[in-house]
Amino acid sequence: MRYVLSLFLFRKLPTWHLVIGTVVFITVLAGLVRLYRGGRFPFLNRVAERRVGSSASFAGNSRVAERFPELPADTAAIPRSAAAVREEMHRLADWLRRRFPDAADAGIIAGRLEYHLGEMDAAEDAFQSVLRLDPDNAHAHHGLALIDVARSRFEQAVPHFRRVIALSPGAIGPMLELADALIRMGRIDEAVDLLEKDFPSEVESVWRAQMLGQCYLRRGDLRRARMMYELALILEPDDPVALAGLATVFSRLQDHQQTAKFTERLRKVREREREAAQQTRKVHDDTASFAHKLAEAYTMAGRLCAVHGEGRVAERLLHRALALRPDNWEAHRDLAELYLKRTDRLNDAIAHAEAAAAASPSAATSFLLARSYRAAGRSKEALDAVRRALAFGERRPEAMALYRQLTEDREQNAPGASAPKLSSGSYKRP
Amino acid sequence: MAHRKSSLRTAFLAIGAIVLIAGGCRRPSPEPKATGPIVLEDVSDRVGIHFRHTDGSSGRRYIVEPMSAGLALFDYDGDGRIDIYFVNGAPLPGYQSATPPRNALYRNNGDGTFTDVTDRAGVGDTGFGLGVAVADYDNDGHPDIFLNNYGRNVLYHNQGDGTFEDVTDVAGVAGRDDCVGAGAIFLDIEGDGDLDLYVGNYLRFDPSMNVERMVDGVPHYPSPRDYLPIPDSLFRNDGNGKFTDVSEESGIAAVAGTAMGMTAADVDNDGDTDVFVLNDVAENFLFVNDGSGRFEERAVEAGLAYNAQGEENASMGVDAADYDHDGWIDFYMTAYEDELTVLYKNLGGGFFEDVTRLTDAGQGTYFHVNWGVCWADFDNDGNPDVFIANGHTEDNAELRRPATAWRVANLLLRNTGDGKFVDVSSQAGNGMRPVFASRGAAVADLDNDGDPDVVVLNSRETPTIIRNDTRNGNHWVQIILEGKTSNRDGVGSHVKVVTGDLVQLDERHAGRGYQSHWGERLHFGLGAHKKIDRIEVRWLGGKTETYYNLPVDRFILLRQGSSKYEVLDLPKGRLGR
Repeated sequence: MRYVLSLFLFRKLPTWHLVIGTVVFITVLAGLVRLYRGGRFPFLNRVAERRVGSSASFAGNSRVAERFPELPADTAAIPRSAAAVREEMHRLADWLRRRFPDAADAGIIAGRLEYHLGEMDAAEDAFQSVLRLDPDNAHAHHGLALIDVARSRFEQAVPHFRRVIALSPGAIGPMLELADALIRMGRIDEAVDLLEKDFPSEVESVWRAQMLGQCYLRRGDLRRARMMYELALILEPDDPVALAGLATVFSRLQDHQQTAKFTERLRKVREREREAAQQTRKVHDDTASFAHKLAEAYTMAGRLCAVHGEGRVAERLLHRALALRPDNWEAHRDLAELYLKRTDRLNDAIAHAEAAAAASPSAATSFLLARSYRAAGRSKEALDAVRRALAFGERRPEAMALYRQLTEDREQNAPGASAPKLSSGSYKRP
Repeated sequence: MAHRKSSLRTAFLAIGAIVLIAGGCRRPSPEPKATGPIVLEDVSDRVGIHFRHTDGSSGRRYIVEPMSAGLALFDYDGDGRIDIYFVNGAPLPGYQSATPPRNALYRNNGDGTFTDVTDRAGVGDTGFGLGVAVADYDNDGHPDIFLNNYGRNVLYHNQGDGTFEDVTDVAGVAGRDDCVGAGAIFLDIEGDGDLDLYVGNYLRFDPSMNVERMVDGVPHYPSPRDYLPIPDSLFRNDGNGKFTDVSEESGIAAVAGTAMGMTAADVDNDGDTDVFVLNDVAENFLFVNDGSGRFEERAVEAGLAYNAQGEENASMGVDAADYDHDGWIDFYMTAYEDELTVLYKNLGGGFFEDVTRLTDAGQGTYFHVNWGVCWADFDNDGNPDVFIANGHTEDNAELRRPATAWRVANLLLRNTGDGKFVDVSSQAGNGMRPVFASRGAAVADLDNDGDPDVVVLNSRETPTIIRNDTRNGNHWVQIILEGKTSNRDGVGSHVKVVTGDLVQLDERHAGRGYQSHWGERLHFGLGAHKKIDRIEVRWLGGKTETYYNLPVDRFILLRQGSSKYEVLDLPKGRLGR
């Protein structure tokens, strides 16, 4: 420092050198501070965590103390990893809002993050902002409905659920959630209408059968209640709600033998549940699964950036998503798509496409893999991959076209070789 | 002119007569409406109570910490004033304190203050306390105390001179050292005239079994599901100061649970006492008594095991009352955050229905963890209201859910008399404003002015004492039972109070709510009724006796086998300086 100052004082260096140096120094220092606060220094983390009992030594607790001054002094400190996830969620939500102030999708991601953080007011504001940009955004209506449910405001949740169903007619989940809200409000007739008349008959749902059983039981229609609970048991043989429902139905029918039978079955199911819980939860830390929610948000944010032409940012976000959850097949898929556009990263595209196909084998991921291989000139592997894609039974035109192209390439390269057979006979070669 | 005047007079007289006749013929209102708000006053800092609860915690988050504790309201010295007994936690590994915590008994001085008489009475147990039940188990006229602890349980025998003796070992009710207690109740299982003891067991635990949990990235207490459920215990009173463990032969030990609050009540009106036990994150138990002290668990069949959605609740406390005056005892049950409390309406015939949504009885309960629960007619309108004590298990709840907190206000639901409940907490005076992590709650007329007051035990804090200042001119009666062939306290007896068309039913309990005890005087609000037509007492194990034309606004002693009632002249008191 003295040397730098002397250079400046004796005018051996121009003033702007000092200015630039100072800016660089401050930037590096700020970066180090941010890295420290984000929990990137494992050694410091360990030192902090050794000092159990001193809340101040834990990441995020100073901020916690600012936000919640009324917390008792002996509140257990938050381990650095968990605090870091929560803080990162906040940071991502804030960043998305700043970066894409007019993008509905950014508001949806931010709202979901805040919902996961339990910050319902902020989440509600986020979804309401989205609706101001796009009044027909089904995701925003769904988010608001879930917030109302979480707040036990079922009356207010109903119109949002109805809007989601109107905007996305095939959405089964919101329909079931709406029926549940109606039942909780005691609006049994509406729930029955929804589940019996509006619900697609081809979809088999245990939850639907359970709810109908409850509705008919409340109406005193024991015959139908029994039918519905039995249907739930066909779909899920050990469903405890259905077993309890059948025990109640038979109890009201004064059929003691059947009552005892279902009560005993229910008891055994509950015992098994408890034993399973014992085995899996000896040391229970859901920080990893909590981080998966953040990974999901990073994946969506990465896709958003890709759509907005910000490939480099998208790449960074998707890599962060993978760091939080290595088996995140959607992040692998989106990275593969990104790298497919760059000839210098085709090997990376293949690696991510392989990972996506391994984590979530499907027609889509196999087709992505085929495209990656073909882009890299590995036709044989591409052909294998497209065969796998077609074996899933989906006849996507683009997959068919690729298959055709690849087989033609192969025939041209190896005359006399017979075209491979498809796994299904539904496809006729032109 | 005179003739005209005479005609007018005749007409007025005729109209007057019609009005009078019509008024006289009109049936009295079956459910008198309340005439004003419920007014509750926080007098905690004016009663001289300095007890401070501890849960023995040090940040290690042992599962037993947030479960402590209940309290008992009873007249330990027979002076006509209700005294307060607070249950306390104890040091767990890591906890440090200069003065070891202990339970505390506060004598009601009648001048608005209480005096700590723990040492003099000898009831300062230093075990890790959870539940308490009080009853005269040896029929000597003095209420005894049972403490359900984590570790050795304690039975204090009241010697009638203001002191108690620890008779646990003689009585044989100490239980297991590694057992975490819960609620406890005295009841007469076979109607033989002496009180038996039901002891709830939460789970088996020692600090080496601690499970470290993290939820949403925040440290969290373990779930009861991290431990194995265990059966409760039932001790039969042998009548010679000793109890025999009959858990197996009575059928109680046939099922294992994670007991929390509990109460005994005759749910099927067959004249014996059944037991309703809440389990934490598990189905509840209803032990139906066959009259001989043998029980069959029938909660699923009765509709009491789960809520309306068929979900297991993290059930906490329960109290019993006939809230809709249909002659069947109903239950109100508190539960965890993100669950509604549950009002189970007794349909008769052994069946219950969750009517929480239909009656709006779950208002204000969803976000918070609810613990103590008391049915009490705060405005004496003849309809029992509900007081609920709130507070989170997690002292860092704010980090995960800003909608709730470790310390929150309690809740008061007014019974409107037409099958609905209204949350009146914000309009009920400053008694509903204290913000704590409350646990047990109990109600009793501490100042003998005819309305129920409230005492709330707050985790890690001093208690809340709430004086009922509701003034609406409604009448009341408080009934004290004295059994002869039935147990002396009249526990398990049904009392029906008939005033015009208003027929109210209550049952004498010993142990209820969240691990607490109250109710040695049965309190009935009578609305505008100025006399009681009749009171019927169905003594447990005995006959039904009826008393006619009783006065209102009195404390009335009903002795089994006596056709006459006795009006007690209990000393008027104050609550708070």
